[in-house]
Order: sequence, then structure tokens, then C-alpha cells
Amino acid sequence: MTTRTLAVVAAFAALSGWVSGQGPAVRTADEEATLLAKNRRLLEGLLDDGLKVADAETPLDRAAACRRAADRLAVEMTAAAKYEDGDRVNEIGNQLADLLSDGFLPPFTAARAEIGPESPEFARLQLLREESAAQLAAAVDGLPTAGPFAARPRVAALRRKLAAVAAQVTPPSE
Amino acid sequence: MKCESFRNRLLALPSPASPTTELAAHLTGCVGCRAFAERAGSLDARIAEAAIWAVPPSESTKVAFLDSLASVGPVIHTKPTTTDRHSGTDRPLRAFARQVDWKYAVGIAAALLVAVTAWRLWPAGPPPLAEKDGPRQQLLAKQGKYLAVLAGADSADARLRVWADWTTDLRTTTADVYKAAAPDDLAALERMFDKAVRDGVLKHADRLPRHLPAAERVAVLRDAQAKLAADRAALDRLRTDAPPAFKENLKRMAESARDAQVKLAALAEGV
Repeated sequence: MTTRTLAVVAAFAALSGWVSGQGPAVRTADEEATLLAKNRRLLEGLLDDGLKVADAETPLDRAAACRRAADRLAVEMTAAAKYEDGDRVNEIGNQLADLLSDGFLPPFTAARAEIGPESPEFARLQLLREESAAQLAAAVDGLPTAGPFAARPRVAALRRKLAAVAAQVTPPSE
Repeated sequence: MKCESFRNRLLALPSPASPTTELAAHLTGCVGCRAFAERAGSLDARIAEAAIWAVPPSESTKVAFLDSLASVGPVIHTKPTTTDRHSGTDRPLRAFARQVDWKYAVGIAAALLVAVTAWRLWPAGPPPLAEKDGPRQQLLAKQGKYLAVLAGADSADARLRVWADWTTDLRTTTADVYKAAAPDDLAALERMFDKAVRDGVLKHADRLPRHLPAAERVAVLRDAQAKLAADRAALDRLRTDAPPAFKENLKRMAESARDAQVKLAALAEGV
């Protein structure tokens, strides 16, 4: 009887321990501080970019402000790629792709619909398109195309994701 | 009569030289058995003449001697049985089958089957390197999302909500690191918090359009005010057990939150 009880208790303890282990790990203050030190400049820059995006009144201005934030992320991702820091490339690169597709493209598309060739803003729009296309090309080029690092599934997937966004910035008809 | 049978019966006689009528009939027609009978008779005579006998051998002694000769010779004592061509291999197999404990044999076979299956299913080479996520800072991920929301937010109240949330995230990040951060890093958090409050929350609270319905305007302002009140309270709590070097940072952040809270309350009441 005692043995059976102990066995049941031990089994449930093991099961609950296993279930508890499935949740996200709680990080210590030291680990959080390390992450803050690593990201501090990027965080400050993105907050400044956010203030500019929030201040922008027109879709073109919001798209332009968003592109500057994207540029900050692209620089960070390219630097990580040089050191073959796959995790960092994956983290920042996906943020870049998400910001471009969810933040930059909607106001940029709206601006293209609003601004015709006769508009005084048309030159700015064209410049923004060219700068964005160049930025994306540079970001994609910043990811290696050969070697073990390039062959990693996540790096390859990120390359495809960024290329898909680039295709939307510069549609084939243009 | 077969030759083997004849020869056995001949040797069983007291004297091979005096075969029975039945045996004599076989002798007339079988050259081999005739020669055998002659050799047996000759041997019998030589035994009788042998000098080793101290006394003339009795009949029983002779029989015993002949039996001893026959026991090592080609004499067949048992009736030969016919065998089919498989009998030579069936007997050992059957004997082996009777000796085997099939319960254990089946168990061993099942274990071998499991082992072979596991061997075949096990990856042949080293497992591919898993690309696991390293530690991620929540604030960085959220800032990217806030930027995207702000880019699509075309109203001051939508932006105000984003900045109130951004401010709260900066406060929670401060709570995560305030015991271990480098002074420069905590100072950076303080700067960001102040900017988010002043240039984010308060600026867009001031920009709320006049045409916004009063109830909606008040709700937006009260919501932001409540978040800043929570931020201030949390920062005051952190200050109680913060390292001495960080107490001033946390105090200024709490004051920034309190000032914004007061201004938001005034805006809400001024409707």
C-alpha cells in the first residue's frame, strides 16, 4: 500500500515537473540586463523613429519615417550576418521584414495611390521607392548566399521573406 | 532368405559346418554365403584347435566367444528398419525442437525484432543542428510592433494608446533589470521613458481632435492616465529596494509619470 502510494505520488510529481518545464523560462535580472545592454542603442533609436512616425501626418511621411526605422534594423541585421550570428540575424531580420510589410508598405501603397505624377510630392514618392528598393536589396545582399550559414533554413527563409517584400516595393510593372 | 539373415543364423548354430536344411538351401544358390560359411567353418575348426584352451572348450564357452566376436563385427542383432530419405535430418530437428523452451525463444525473438526496428528507425547520422531561438528581449520585439501600428494610425487617440502601452513596457523592462543593469543602461531607460511620456503620451493627448466625442475623448485620456498611475506606483515600489545608485533614476521616472498623470487628468476634466 505504501509503495503504491509513493509510486503514484512520484509519478504525479514527475509529470507536474515536466509540465512546468514546458513554459517559457523566467530570466534573471542579470540576463535581462545583458539583453538591455545588447539592444540599448537599437531600442533608443527605434523609440526616436517611433516618435517621428507618430508625428508624421501624411502616408508618405509615415512611410518615410518607417523606412528610416527599417534602415536601422537592416544595419543591425547585416552586422549580425557578418559575424554569422544566426539567431540575431533571425531575430532582427524578421522584425525588419515585419516592419516593412506591416508598417512601411500600407502607407507607402496609400501614398502611391494618392500621389500622381502631377503632384509636387511625386518626386519624393519616387525617391522613397528607390531608396526603399535599394535598402532592401542591400539587406538581402547582406545575407550570405553560400556556405553553411547561408544554408541554414531560417536564413534561407528570411531571404525569401525579404525578397517578397522587395517585390511589393517595386512591382514588376515598374 | 536374405544373406544377412542367413549369416546370422549360421553363426548361431553350434557348428557352422552343419547347417540346417533351410540354410543349406540358401547355400546352394548363394556363392557369397557359401564362402562365408566356409570361412566360418574354418574359423570354428581353428578355434577348436587353438592351444590356448587348457581344457576343451565347452559349448557355452564357444558360444560366448562367438558372441564376443559378433559384437564388434558387422553382425546385425536388430531387425533393420526402412528409412526414408528425410529421416536423417528430421530426427535431430525433432530432438532439438523438444529440447527448446519456446516461451524464452519467442521472447528473445521479440526482443531482437524490437532492437532491429529501433536500429532501423534511429537516425543514421548526428541529428541536424536545431535552430533554437536564443534569449529575446520582449521590449525590442514590441517596439517593432508599435512602430508598425503607429505607421498605420491616422488619429491622435490611436497614437496615444500606443504610447501609453510603450511607456508601460519601458517601466516593466526597468523592473526586470533595475537590480542588475549598468548605470548607463538604466539611464537610457529613464531617457526613453521620459521621451515616451512627454513626446508620446502627452503630445498626442494634446492633439486629440476637438471633434472627438466627449465621452470617447475622456475614455482615451482616462485609460492613459490609469496606465501612468500604475507606472508611477510600480516605480515607487521599485525605488524602495533599488541599489542606491538607481534610486534617483527611478524617482525621476516616477515623477515624470506623476506629472503626465496630472496633465492627463486636467485634459480629461477640461472637456
